Amino acid sequence: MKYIFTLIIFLLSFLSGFAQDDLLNQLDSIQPKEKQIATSAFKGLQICNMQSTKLPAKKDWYILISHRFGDITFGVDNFFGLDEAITKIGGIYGVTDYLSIGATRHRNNKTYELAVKYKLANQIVDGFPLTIVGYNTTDINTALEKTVYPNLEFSNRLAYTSQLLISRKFSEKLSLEVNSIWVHKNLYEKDTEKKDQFLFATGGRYKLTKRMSFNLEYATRISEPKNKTYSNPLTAGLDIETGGHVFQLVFSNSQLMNDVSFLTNATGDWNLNKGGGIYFGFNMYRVF
Amino acid sequence: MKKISHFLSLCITFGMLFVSCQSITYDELATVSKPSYSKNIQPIIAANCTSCHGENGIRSDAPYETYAQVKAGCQVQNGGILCVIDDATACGFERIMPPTGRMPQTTIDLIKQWATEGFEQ
Repeated sequence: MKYIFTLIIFLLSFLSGFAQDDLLNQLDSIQPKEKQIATSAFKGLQICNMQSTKLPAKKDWYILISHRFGDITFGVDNFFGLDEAITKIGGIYGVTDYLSIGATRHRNNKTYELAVKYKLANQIVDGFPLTIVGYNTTDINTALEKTVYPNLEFSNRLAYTSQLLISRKFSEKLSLEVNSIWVHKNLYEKDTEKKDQFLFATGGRYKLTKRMSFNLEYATRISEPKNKTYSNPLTAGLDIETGGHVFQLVFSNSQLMNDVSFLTNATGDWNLNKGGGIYFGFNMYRVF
Repeated sequence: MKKISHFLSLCITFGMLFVSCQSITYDELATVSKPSYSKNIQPIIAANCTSCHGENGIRSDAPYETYAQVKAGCQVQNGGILCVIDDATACGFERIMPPTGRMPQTTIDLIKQWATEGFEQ
């Protein structure tokens, strides 16, 4: 009996010895595998006019001041547009790392824009390849007057965009983004606008130096209105980062800056033979 | 508590989206029958013109701040205001006004109607 008991103890200890080896082996075979998010695909919250997939960090306050000057093709007559500036000013707050809310005021049509941006997926190093972000805006046009439109209701002042932004950081220098956008207007011009306009947009960033990058974006309206009053927006820009500020210089064929307007009401044209209309301006972001 | 505040901010934002999506055109909304300067035209001019065509604007040489100034601006030989807001290049202007983009056609038509009906004060 004593022998049997000793044998069982011996065998058990032997087995447990094996098991320990197994566990140790397992520990060796498991690589330290932490999900690393690919950061800084874009430096600014916008590429130029369009939104980028960047969101403010949790509890970050951003103050945004944007200007677009007049048409530079008029030359000295309006001092290359500097005589005629329009302004967009507002604030953006990061509720969490994956949700931000913003409110801005745009001079054109005295428009207030409310915005929400939310992250649906992060690009992971050696993992999920894309960053996916949703963005919605609501515009309130406060320039409409009851004296001109006696039957005006509050809902007539509203216009919306819903955007799905998908980006990928290809390398330290190059990031690209594709967006599908839906613009809805509660009040629209019969011949030159549509109540529902779909757009497909693309943009990118190429880092030139540590603090500077070149940005480009274009949006095409799918089945655009027959009347060609407005063009598709094409914008080029330069990001300059100066510790706490992101300063974006832009050249665009749209003087207007809020999403509904620059996407569907760009009045200029890069083709100078077609009347021109190129607007210089800047976005300035300050983080608190 | 944090979750509730996140949920609320999402609800508010998406709620905004569903306030209304009913669309109408400017034409359908415009029903002014006999426009007058003080009631209808002055607010349009104030919203679109006087930031430049005013006392402190870059076009203070051609101000549109009073009834008389706007009326005179419509009565110049090439059509003045009436033309520059609609078909600018056809009557010799460099570009359409206001520079931020053409006003809705109904607004343009209202100013023209006001002129045709004798510049009601």
